[in-house]
Amino acid sequence: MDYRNPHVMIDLKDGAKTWNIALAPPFRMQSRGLPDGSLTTGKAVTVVGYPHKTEVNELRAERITVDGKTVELR
Amino acid sequence: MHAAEGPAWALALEHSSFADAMRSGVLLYPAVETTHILGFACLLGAILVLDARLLGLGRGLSPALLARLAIPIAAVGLVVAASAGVLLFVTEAAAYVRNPAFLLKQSLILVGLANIAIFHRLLMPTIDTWPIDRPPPRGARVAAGVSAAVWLSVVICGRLIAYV
Repeated sequence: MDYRNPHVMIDLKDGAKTWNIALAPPFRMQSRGLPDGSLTTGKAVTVVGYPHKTEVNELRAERITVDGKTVELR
Repeated sequence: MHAAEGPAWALALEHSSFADAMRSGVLLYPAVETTHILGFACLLGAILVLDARLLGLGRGLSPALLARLAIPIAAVGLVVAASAGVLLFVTEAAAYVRNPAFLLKQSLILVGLANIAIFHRLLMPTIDTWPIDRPPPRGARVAAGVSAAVWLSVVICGRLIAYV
């Protein structure tokens, strides 16, 4: 979990795999209801996004669901 | 993306508390990005007007008077863009130093600065004597063509850093 510019980055465990996921810029995350501290290590989240074509663990998120709330990231 | 490896100086910059402040401020980073854009907008807008005149467009406008207006605006834009650019650079220094678009952009900036130095050394001293109704000296036209091509390419490379 790295709440930073230009994009908030999270590592998300999915079975044996760990995704390296780019969310949105902090300003947008904050204004859409995901301020720093709302994403914490250990929390279960659902992410919809586009995997990188060559970097097998990297993914750009379109939206994320945290605590039952879905936030659009584009 | 944090590069796990890279030159020690780039990693040191990236891990500095200043770089951390740049990354973690919610408004600071977009403010610096915006400043960078305002800077190169002033640089490019002003310099393209002068380049166009030196290439032979705008016949009748005095190159000397145009230079007196356009060059200070371009110079301020260059300083603002470069200063903000350094601040953006430190946030991901190790990734930037191996980004081909970034490296090409820096090389082009050096070409642009050399072109400015040559223009001011060889051509500016006589600009007052250039007739306003005929094309400027060949050297000035070459410098203007190089300038327009280089600064446009710098902006294109800058934008491509995020994509390559």
